[in-house]
Amino acid sequence: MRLFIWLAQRLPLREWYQRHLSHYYVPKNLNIWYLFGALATLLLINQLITGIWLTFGYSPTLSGAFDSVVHYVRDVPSGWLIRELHAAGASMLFAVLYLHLFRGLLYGSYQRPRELVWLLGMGLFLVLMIEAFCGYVLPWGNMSYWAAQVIMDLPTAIPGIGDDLANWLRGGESISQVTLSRLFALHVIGIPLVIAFLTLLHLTGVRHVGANNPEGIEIKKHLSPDGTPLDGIPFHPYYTIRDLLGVGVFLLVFVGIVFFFPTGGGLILEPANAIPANPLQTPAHIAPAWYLTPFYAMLRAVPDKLGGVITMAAGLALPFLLPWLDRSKVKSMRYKGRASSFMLAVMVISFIGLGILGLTPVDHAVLPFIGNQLLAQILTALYLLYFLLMPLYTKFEACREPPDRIGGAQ
Amino acid sequence: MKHLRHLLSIVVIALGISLAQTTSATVNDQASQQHGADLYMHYCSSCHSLKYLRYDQMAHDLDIPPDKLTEYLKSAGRKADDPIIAQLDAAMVAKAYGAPPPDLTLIIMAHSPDWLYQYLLAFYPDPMRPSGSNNHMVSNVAMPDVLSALHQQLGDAAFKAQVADLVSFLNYTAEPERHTRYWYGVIILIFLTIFLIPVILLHQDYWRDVE
Repeated sequence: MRLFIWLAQRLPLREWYQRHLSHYYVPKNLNIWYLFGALATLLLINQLITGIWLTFGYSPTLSGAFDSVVHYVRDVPSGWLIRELHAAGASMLFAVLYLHLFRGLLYGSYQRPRELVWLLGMGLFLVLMIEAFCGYVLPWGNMSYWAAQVIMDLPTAIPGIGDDLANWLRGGESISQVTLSRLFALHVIGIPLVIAFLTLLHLTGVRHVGANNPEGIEIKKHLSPDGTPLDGIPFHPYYTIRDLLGVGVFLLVFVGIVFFFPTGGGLILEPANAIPANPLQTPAHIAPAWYLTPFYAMLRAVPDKLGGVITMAAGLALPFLLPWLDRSKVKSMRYKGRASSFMLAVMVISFIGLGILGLTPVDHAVLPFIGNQLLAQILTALYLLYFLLMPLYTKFEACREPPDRIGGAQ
Repeated sequence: MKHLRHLLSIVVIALGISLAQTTSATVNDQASQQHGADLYMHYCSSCHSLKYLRYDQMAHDLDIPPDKLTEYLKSAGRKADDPIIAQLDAAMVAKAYGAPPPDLTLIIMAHSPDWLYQYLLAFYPDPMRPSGSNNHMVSNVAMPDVLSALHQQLGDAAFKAQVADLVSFLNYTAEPERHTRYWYGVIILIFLTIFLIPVILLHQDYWRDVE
């Protein structure tokens, strides 16, 4: 206790505790969709810790990378567990992030005053994709190598400077020791620092403007005499205990995967990565990790290389613009019109469909009567239309008036 | 209380399934893996390495009798803590057969136990090939039908059992710690279940006063 007083005189401990936990007021009606932010934080910490431990045993060299990972997994006590927590953790992080993003779309969490929170979150998502790509290459299995080959060749599609840009990024004409060293440095130092900084800003932003809720109405409009929101409850203990419950249930799933389905049917640990990188032997079907396949399918949907890159870039860039594309007066899907719900459903189905197509070899038809290429083009168009048509359908559809207070009448 | 009961019943079912998987994997006859190791040392190890596995580790994990281990070490000219490296030089074998023989430690991960079993049974005589044999699964494979003598000697049914043992051994080499993984999983699932009970009760207690 004396230590606490000593510290509190020198650091704003009490203020910090009040600001972020005991006096941070959160809407009382948050549902299960609001769990995934906490899970993403948990998984990010998992990636950080297991990542440090993996770095202890990893050798970023062409001759040593594959063997160092295999030795780590087999010869270091519980090395298999650390590698699996890191590999499955990455997959789960993206699963959780997609659900977190969907929550934003469902309840309009990107709308004023949370535009910056949304932009920071999307930035984080993009940076995490790059981080995941770098990490995917490091074990130097055959799929790692060929995925790197395909992805790092993308800049060549840019007219004029493309070839030079690709060579500059790779550090040469092809994937080499230089490339591997770079991806290692970026994966363990460069990008994690960016992620930590963006996460801090994202969370600070949320705490400043306050959390949205399923009704999409502001709780700060109705304050009690002591200045706290009438429809808000302190984050601690209400949401700390609820998040703890969510974490416990999530861990049941996570542990189930880590210990009983470690390869995730080839989605977490790819069969082709059990073979060391071999520049002379192309895998039968090159695909990135499952969480990147929707964008990979958009890339492949367009026969022209530059067109594919532009389409994929649009697919990644349009979500950033959501706060300005959505012209609706209400935030939550509960009060938006039919068009919004319909378009959201279409977008989600297209996105999942593209994910499946990205995992499937081009010549292996997913549906009867329709080729994968055409299907991918249709789904890409539908995905993009969700964003491009948003200013129209959100403006002209009939919305319902949301209630003034949570749980109350209008 | 309803939530608690639902959750617990799901967890109990999941635990049952994972325990069943665990015990079946533990029972997953060591005898079969031992015999598979024996076959491997006689038919495969001159060309194919298991370079991520050491002789003494294998003997310890599979409870291989010391005299058997000595026999393997002697015929390969290795020491107990050496990795299992092919006796023949890979470059030389590549010159003779057209492709270097791959290391087989992780072959089960690159394919699957089922794939490997089918592959080993898919050889057929083919006078057009330099090795005199070909394979239905991997056409024009460089590997010759090294098990053909065994096949002829034992007949179909007994040969299939031998191949199954070989596959079961390579399933072990791909992940020697598989049993540890299962047991850790069961223990952690039990811990989480017990941990969740007070959390659920606490959650109910706190949220009771929120309308």
